[in-house]
Amino acid sequence: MSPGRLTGLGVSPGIAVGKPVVQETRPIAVLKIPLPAAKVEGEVQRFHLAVEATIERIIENRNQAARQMGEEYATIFEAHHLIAADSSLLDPVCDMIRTERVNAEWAVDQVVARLVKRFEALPDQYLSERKLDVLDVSSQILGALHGQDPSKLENLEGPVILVADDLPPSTAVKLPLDKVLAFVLEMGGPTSHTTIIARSLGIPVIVGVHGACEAGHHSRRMIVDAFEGKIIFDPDPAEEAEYISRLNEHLEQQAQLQEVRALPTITRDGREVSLLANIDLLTEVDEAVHWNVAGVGLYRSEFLYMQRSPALPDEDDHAEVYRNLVSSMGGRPVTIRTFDLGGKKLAREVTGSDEANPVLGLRGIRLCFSKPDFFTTQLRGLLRAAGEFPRGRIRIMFPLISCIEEFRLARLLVHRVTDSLRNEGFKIQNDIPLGAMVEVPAAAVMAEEMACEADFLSIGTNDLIQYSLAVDRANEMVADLYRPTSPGVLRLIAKVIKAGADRGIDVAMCGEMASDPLMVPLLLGLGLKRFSMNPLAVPKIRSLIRQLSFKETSSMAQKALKLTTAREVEEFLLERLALSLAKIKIRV
Amino acid sequence: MTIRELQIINKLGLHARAAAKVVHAANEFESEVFLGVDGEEVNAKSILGLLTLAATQGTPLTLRVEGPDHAEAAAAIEALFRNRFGEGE
Repeated sequence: MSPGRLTGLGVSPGIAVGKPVVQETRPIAVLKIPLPAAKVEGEVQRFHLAVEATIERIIENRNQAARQMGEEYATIFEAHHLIAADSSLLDPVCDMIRTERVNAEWAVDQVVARLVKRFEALPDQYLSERKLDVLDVSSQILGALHGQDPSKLENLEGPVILVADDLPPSTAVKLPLDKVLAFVLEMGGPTSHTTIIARSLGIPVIVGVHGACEAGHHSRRMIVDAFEGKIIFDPDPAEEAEYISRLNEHLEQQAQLQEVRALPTITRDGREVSLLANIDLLTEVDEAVHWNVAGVGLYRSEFLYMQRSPALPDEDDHAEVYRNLVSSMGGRPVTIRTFDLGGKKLAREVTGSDEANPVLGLRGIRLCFSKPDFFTTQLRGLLRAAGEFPRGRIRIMFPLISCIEEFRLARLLVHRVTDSLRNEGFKIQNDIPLGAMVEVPAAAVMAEEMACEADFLSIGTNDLIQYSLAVDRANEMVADLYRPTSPGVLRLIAKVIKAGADRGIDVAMCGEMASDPLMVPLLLGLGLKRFSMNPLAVPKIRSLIRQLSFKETSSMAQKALKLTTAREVEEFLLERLALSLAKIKIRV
Repeated sequence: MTIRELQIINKLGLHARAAAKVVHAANEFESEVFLGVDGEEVNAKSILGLLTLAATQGTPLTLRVEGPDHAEAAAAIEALFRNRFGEGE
């Protein structure tokens, strides 16, 4: 690949063409400069001014975060405020400037290094990670000392494409997002808060782009194709023109999609299916309601834990969030997944241990079982909230079920919690629908038996593919082996859909495959009736389904199941679907 | 001067949010406020000091307050510990 082109993982779809602005948070190099005695007090004064400026900035950040995202987000900035005003930091710096006659930058750097060492030596993982807060504050003080304009990003002359090594939420909340065409980040992942904010605003994002800042520094124009995770620096005019026309096409298509907002999701030959929303934050609910989804297919409750970390949400917090979710969905059913803290960091905070192989470790329902207190608290909140609405409004789903016993144990715990809540006088419904996420290959193979026990099933394709093919998609050395069209994966999915149909229970899909325009017709043909996706994908998938015939996709699906390689499946689907996809202007 | 023995009873120990509350409470008073674990004492008006105490649930601490309003300050800090820093558990 030529140096003018980089690739990454597109985590929020879209295309952008524009001017790059590079934001690097890498530490500033600090030099030791000896001072004449006469300049020492002036240096102490300069340090105090920098600290004051930093505190002012932190307060602004705090207020902005509280306004935009809620008071919960603001507490981190309160700790930063106290650190910036802390005599354990300020006094030693002033002492060092005076006694060693050195510049403030050097003194800050030395004192902070000592503090960081003390934090690193603490036995508790959570506490030793607080060194990050100390470093965040000290880098702001250093920035103020260097006369760096901290408001550079706030006063962006838009529109621009923001290229950054990392974009912590403290920076993201300050951005004028209406001036940002796209984000290109060297770090970050699909579930970082910055990504989630961008996605909910429809701003394209590509993460994991090595060398993006370096390339951005040397470029005047760039193209971001977050559909394909492609970045082109200083494109030639022909290429730029091509992308501008694709961008216009995309915008036009977005406008057309508004037309399907209130239309039913029904095939040409009359098969009606349900499009559901995957929801992380309550703020995404508006989008889901706007696109007229049939319900929430996946509410990822772990976000509640992330927001309150390190404190844990209590029973009332749970009940309140679920109650709000159901109320704002206006009577449409909501499927809530019990906590699935899969990310390394979160799992560590909760389990207090490091695992060599966390993806195969204590996560999903296993983590729920290993922390019965957390799990019971969540179930109590869930059941109490469910009791306030008609049956079926709240459905409970257990993540990463790998065998029947796990589902049985989860159900048993729900029954126990129900009994104790009733003894306490709460009104709790019978038969709250309980479902299993099918994302472990062994569970898919046992789909028929699962379907006898569970009230509904939901296929989580991201994990199912990763476990079936033994591929970590984030590992670029093997990422190309991650093939949703792999016949082995398709046959597992077909088995789950059929098991549900045979037993007369709902089967939904809530992984990325459920909103992939190439896969949706195949899934429809396999008999899937419930597709759960990011609310922004709803209009496109609805238009697509309205173009399709169930009869035709069924025969297509039967043929696809007989193919033996992922490539054959892809080519077959592309050939059969070219017309339907072209009609709604989808490129694959 | 007031000296009291305190214990951390909240589940998460003296984490960032709890430490912030202690600093805010101590800052309300003119007196100097110190907290110590095993003889190592830190300034309770310093969040960095409090965090590096690494005090977890069950840790016994010594509170020492010196100054004109020492009795009131000690009572306020003690109440905060007893109240689990306003956390549920």
